[in-house]
Amino acid sequence: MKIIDFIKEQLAIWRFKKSLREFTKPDPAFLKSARTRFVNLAQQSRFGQNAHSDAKSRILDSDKAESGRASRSNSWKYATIAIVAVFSMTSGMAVFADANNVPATHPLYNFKRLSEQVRLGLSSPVQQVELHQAFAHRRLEEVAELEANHGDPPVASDTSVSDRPVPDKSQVRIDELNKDFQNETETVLDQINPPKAQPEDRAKFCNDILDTIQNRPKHNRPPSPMVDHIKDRCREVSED
Amino acid sequence: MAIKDQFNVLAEALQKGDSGSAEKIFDHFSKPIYAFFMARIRHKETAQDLTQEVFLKVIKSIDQFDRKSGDFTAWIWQIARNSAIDYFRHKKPSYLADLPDEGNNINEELVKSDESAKVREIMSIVESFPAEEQELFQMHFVTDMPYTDIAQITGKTESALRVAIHRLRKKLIPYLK
Repeated sequence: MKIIDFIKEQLAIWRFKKSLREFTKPDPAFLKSARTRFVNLAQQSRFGQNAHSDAKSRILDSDKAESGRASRSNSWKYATIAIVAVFSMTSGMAVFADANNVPATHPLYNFKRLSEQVRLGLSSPVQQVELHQAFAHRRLEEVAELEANHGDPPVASDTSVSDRPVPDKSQVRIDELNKDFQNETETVLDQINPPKAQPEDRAKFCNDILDTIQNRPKHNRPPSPMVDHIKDRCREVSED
Repeated sequence: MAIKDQFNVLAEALQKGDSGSAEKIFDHFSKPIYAFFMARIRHKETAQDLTQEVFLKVIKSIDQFDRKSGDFTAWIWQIARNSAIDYFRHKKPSYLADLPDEGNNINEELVKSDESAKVREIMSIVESFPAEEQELFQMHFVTDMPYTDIAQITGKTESALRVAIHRLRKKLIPYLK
């Protein structure tokens, strides 16, 4: 009897399972579409992986190229910044030295001369004459100051400044400045030659420059041959 | 063990994008997974959506599959199980009430039959069982999953499973007669 019951139970379970399978059987159309979709996705994921690795390698390549470009770009950037900084500092120091008319012994003196060249380069011919004249005066002042200090810091001494011997180095510098003064003067004299300037302008400049020389103490005047040469040139210009 | 090894190999081929492996995996698992959802949710479209979701997750996560960590069969069933859990976790309370007639979502030929009525009746009874027994019912009765796979998925020993399923049978038999 128990065996029959057992068989009945198993049959009931088998029938139930069969019914369940029917109950939970998927729609063939759904299975077909889902299968196609799954297989396509599987293939796409492979292509995706390839595309991903390709993209990755492209990204790496582009990263390298980008880093190269960035490095070059950075080099240019730093170079530009350095150039701008140097230019700004140079121009700043030149303007400062020129505006303060620093003496020949000042560390920024060369910047002053540079600024003078720039000003001459940027000026009109008429303004250039005035600038050369002004610079000629500057050279004389620089010589006077250099001779006053003898190129060295002032020292406590009972000897007068003019009696002290001028060191060789300062003398060379004084000679250079006198030469520069002569050059500035000659440049003006060249430029005020007829017919570039009116006779009264030429006379005015010559009188001005000769008065400046004459008004200086004897020990601060340019060398006599130089002064004589300037006087001759002024005479020539005035006679023309 | 040999079957599981077979799917491990297919899964590794799927990792490389082998469409033949994808077809074999789908053909083997699609019906039981759909049945698993259908038995649990009893809504055709939802079961279809969840089945597709499982295979979508398989594609998305196949790179993470490692046969050293477990067999593919257990792995894919774990995905299905988690999908069902997620579905019930996020399901709106009014969802089933919104359905016009759940029976219409089931095989229409079966709706009117006595067998279908019996099945629906028993499934409703199973719903009153503890969650563990419901899951065992779905895995053993609905999907015909081997004990070894159920053991792997549920984390129980095979002998413990046999005892649990025997008890479940005993519980169901009065309703089956």
